[in-house]
Amino acid sequence: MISQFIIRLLKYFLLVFIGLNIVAIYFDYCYRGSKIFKPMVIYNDSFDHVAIGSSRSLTGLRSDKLQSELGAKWFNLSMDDTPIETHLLELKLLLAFGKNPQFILLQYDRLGVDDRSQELLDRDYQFLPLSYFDHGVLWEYIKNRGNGKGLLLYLLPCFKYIYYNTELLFPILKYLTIGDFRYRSNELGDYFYPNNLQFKGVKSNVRLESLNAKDSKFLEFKKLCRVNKIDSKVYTAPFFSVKVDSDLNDYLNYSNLLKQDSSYFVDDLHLNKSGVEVLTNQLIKDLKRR
Amino acid sequence: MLFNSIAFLIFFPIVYFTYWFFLSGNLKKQNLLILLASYFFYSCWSWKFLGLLALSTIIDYFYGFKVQNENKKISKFYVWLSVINNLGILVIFKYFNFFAGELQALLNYIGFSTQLGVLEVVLPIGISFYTFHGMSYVFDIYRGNQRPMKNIVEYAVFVSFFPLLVAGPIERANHLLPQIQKSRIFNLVQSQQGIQLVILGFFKKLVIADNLSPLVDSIFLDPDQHSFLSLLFGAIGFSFQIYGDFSGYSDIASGIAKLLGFELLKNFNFPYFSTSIPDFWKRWHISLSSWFRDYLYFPLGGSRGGLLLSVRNVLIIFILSGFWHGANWTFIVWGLIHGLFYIPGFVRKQMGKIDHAKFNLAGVFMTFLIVTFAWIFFRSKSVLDAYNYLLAFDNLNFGLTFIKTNTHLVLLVKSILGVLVLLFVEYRLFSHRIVQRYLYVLLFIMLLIFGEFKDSASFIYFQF
Repeated sequence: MISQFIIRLLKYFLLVFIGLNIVAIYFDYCYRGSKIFKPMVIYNDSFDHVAIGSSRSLTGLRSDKLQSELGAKWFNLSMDDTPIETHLLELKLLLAFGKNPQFILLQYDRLGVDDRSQELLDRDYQFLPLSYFDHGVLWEYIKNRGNGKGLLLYLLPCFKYIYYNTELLFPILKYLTIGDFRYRSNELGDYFYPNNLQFKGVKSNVRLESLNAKDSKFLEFKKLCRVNKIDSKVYTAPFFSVKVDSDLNDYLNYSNLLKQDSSYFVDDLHLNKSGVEVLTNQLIKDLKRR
Repeated sequence: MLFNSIAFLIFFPIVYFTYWFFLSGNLKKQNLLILLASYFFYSCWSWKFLGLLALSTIIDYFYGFKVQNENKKISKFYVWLSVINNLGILVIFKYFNFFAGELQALLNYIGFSTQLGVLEVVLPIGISFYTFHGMSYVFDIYRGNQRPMKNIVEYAVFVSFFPLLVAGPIERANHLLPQIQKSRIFNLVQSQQGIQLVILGFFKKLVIADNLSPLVDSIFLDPDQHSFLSLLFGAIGFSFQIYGDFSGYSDIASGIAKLLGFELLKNFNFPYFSTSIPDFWKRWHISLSSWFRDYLYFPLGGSRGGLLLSVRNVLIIFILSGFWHGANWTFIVWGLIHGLFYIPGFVRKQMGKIDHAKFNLAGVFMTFLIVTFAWIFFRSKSVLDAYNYLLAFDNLNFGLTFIKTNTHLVLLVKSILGVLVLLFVEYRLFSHRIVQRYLYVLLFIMLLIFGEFKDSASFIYFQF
C-alpha cells in the first residue's frame, strides 16, 4: 500500500513539475523578447557607448545628454545593488552576444568590490531568463553560487520562478497584461530619484578612502576591454562625505566633485537631478577631451 | 533544522523510507529510529543542548517510578521535585536574566546600588515544550491517569518526537505514549491526510506568514513614520502572520506525525472566527491552554471556591501563559489583556447564563479586534514600544506608508491572496467536486507560485 501511495505522490509531483516547467519556458521566452531588465536589453539591442556600474551610475547620468553631445548611440546598462562581478558578467554577455560596444564608461568604487563569498548576488535573478541562451557565460558565473541553488536556478526553468517569484514572476505577469516596460529605467537605461527627496546631510570631515586597482575582477574587466579593442574609461561618481584616493591610470575621480553640497544629493551616495546635471556636464567635457 | 529548509527535505525522506520500508513491523526499531532522528534533528540546531534534553528526559523518567508510590507524601514530594527540576531548567535558561534585571531595577529604585550578574546563555530551542511534556507525564502518573514507562526509549520518543520537539503541539502522556507503544501499520488515508496537512502548513507559513513578515517588521520598527491605515495593517498583518506561522508549524508537525502513523492533538480550530475571548481560547494554541487548565487551573481550585477565587485563578493562568512565551513584560501584558477580556464571559457562565457559541458577525469582529490589540503588545520589544505604537495611531493619514517599492506591493498582494485562499480552504468553500479532488494539488501549485522561499524566516514560536 505504501508503494501505491508513493507512486501516486510522485505522479502528482511529476505532473506539477512538468506543467510548471512548460509555463516557465514560455515565461523565459517572453522575457527574452522584452526589455524589462538590463540583461534582456543586452540580449536584444546594440549600442556604441554604454555605461556600466551600480546604482551610483544608474541614477547619476543623463544618457540623453551624453548621447547628443558625444554623438553616439548611448545606453546606461547600470544596475542597482550590483558589484564589479555583475558588471563583469554584463560585459561578458555583451561580448558573447557579439554586441561589442566602441566605448564603455565604468563607474567603480569600493562599494562595488564584493566579498567574493559565492553567494547569489542581489540582482543575479535578472540574468536567469537568459539560461541556455547565454553561450555558457551565465552558467560559468552562477553554477557554483548559493550552495547549489545557482545550479538549480540555471538548470530548472521553473525553479527561478519559484525561488524568485516576487522578483521574476510578477514582472512577467505584468508584461503579459500591459505589455513591455522597463524595471527602474527609462528608454536609455537611466533612473532618477524623485525631486521631492531632500538630503539632510551634515558637513563633517571628508573621509579618505583608497581604491584598490588590483582587484581581480576589475583587472579582468579592463583586460577584456583591451583584448576586444573596446575603449574604456573608469570613473568614480561623487560622494557626499568620501574622497577617493587611487593610483588608477586614466581615471576620472569625481568623488569630491560636489564638495559636500547637500543640495546635489539625495543621500550619501546618490545624486539628485541637479547633481546629475553637474556630473553629466563634467563627464561630457572630460570625455570630449579623450 | 527548519521544516522549510533543504536539509529537512533530505532528512525526512531518509527517515520515512527507512521507517516504512526497512523497519515496518518492528516497533522497537521504529521507535529507536524516531529517537535517533529526533536527537539528530535537535543537534542540527545545537548539539551542546542535546545533553540538557537527555537529562530532562532521564530525570522525569526516573521520577515517574518514584511518583507511583502508595505513600501519598512521598509521591507528592517527587511531583514537586519534578516541578522544581523542570521549572529550574526553564528559570535558568529563560527567566533568570529577566528576574535579575527586574530585581536590580527595584534595588536601584529604593537606593541600593548593586550590580547583579547576568547569565551568558542562549535559550535552548524548544525548552518550553519539552519541559512541559515531562511535567505532564509526572502529573498524569500522580493522578493515576498514566503508568510509569518501563522502556526508556519509548518515553524518550514521547519527550523528543521531532515533529513537535521545538514548537509543539504540547502532547499529553496519555495521548501520545499509547501510540508509541502500539504497533504502527501504514494507513493510506492517514498518509494522504498527512500530506494535505503538510501542504496546508507550508502554505500558511510561506505564503501568509513569510510574505507578511517584512511588511509587518517595517511598520513595527518605526511606527512613528507610518499612517493610521498602515499601523492598522501592521497590527492585523501580525495577527495573520503569527497565525500562519504557528498554526502552519502545527499543521506540518501533525502532517509529518501522520505520515509516521501518529495522531497529534489539534492545536488550532479557526481561531479568528471565535465569537468571544473564551471561545478564542478554545481554538488558539489548544494544547497549551488545556495544559494550563488541567495542570494548573484545576489544582488551584478551578471554579470550586466561589466566584472571586475562580476569577483569581483565571487571571493567574492567563498571566502565566503569557509569561510562558518569554521573559518580557510584553507577554505578561498580553496575557493580562486576554485574562481581563476572558472574565466577563467566564462570570456569565459561572452565573449560569450560558453563551451558546452561535456564529455572530459582531462577536467575531469584536473578538478579532481585541485579539489584534493584544498582539501589538506581544509583537513589540517592550511595553513602551507597544504604547508608542498605539500613540502613533493619532496620525490620521490614510496612505499606505509601508509600500515603498514594487516588491512591498507584490508582498502585500501575495499575502492578501494567501489569506483569502486559506479562508476558502479552511471553510471548505471550494465545494465543486473537481476542485475538492485536486484542492491540495492547486494549493501546492499556489504555494510554489506565491511562497516566500528566498527570505523565508524561522518560525516565531521557536524562540519560546
